[in-house]
Amino acid sequence: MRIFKKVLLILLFANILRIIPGCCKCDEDLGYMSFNRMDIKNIDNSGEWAMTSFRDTMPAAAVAFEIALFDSLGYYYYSSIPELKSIGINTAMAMKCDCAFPLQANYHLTSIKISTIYSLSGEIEAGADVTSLFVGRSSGNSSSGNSVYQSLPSIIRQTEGKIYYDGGVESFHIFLQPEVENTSARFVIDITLSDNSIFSDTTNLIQILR
Amino acid sequence: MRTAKYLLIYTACLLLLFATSLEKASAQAKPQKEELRLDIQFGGRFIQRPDQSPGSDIDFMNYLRDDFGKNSYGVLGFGFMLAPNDRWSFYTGFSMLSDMLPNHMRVTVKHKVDSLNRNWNWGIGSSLYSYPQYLNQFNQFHIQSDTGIIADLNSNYRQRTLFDIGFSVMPWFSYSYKRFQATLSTGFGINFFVPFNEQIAQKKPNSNYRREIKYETIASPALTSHSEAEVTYNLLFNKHVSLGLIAKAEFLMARRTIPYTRTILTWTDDNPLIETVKPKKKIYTKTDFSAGLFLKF
Repeated sequence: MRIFKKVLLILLFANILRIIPGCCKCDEDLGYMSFNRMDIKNIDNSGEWAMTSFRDTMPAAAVAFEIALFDSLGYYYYSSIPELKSIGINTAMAMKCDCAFPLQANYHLTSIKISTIYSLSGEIEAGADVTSLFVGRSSGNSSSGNSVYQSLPSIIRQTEGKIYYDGGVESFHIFLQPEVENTSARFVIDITLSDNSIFSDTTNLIQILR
Repeated sequence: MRTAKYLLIYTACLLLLFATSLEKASAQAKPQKEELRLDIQFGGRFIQRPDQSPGSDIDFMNYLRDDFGKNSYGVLGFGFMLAPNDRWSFYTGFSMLSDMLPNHMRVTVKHKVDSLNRNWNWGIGSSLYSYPQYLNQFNQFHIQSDTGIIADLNSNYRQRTLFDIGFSVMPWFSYSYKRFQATLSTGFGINFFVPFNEQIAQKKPNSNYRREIKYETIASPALTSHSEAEVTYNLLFNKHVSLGLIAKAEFLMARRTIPYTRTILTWTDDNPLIETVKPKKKIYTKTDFSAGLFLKF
């Protein structure tokens, strides 16, 4: 009988422990969005860390940009959908969690093409495809400082099936490897999605510092 | 080769001594009551290893010193010994550095083989132990050798704990006279540093150029010479319990190195340059002194 009581007590404790995480639910349903906007910003990569910059000047060996793709409807639009869907009696919860709303893109990135408007050097002329001269880095990793870059195809591959907990923005940095010999630089960036739609935008005109 | 020869001679002498004493010991065995001993000690640890002149490869053992060029630690230790009879004793101890983490461990088993006379005993013991020490500012190698580049993007104080694990077999001799007892052990063992990984991220200023150097160290067992001494003095005692002073000393010596695999990634991780580096072995010594109190019952 005493053993039975002890087992019962252990089970009771185990169930109390289960109630605590049960007070707050964080398994939000996945929302779906569509990338319909692209934004390109300048990056200042002259120091230790890459950071967005409003200046249109860059060192010749540190030409870099941030590319962001997102849904113009915005994160708050999608995160409010579950509440709209569940009008009536909701599940009773003792606490409300501050959960990030997970989003997934209907169409992921499949390719990126970068062309230069100005010649970069004697060998790389204006209009050339310079995609292979760029390397990339996911924006979320830029502050870690403990890793090298990734190839652009590798960044593209990571967008397939990706779940965004940070507002549904696909954002990454691209870095030009060779030094620019010209006094100006500007690039056209074409990004293709899995539905074959193409986003095309041009970077700012960059003045090269020596 | 020379080490192997000495080891062979040493082992042969030990076996001879052991064999001649076995018969005698069995005849002299007499039961003794169970004994427990608790001890607490405070002391110092001094680790020495001459620097390797800096070449093109890092030698992690050059960074066993702190910023003031010292590699000495204050150590607080606790121990518990159980001697179920006259012939066997089991000791377990742990100690800590100034971080107060009890992460030094020692387990010792001792067996008394023979009594040479009323005061002298001898036997054999074995110890399994581990102790930590610090590797400090090893990124200085890159800061000094990689010029024209931000040599380490990690601006934190680069310190890591290096654990040394060892197993020793040591014959011991003890001398007891009235309140005083001294035990001296000397033998050999195997030690190795627990492998660890480190990475150095680098970047050129005003450039997108990035490089990463990854180090993965390899466990390299080293033959060690290990000696210990322990002195106790009973201050107060009655039939059941005794309180006394205890002092210990320990010396460990070996020719050691920390070999590693170095992977250099430039721009991306697509074409890693992988090399195995084995810095030259140099004499490494660890000396411990401690003193404290014991309670035996």
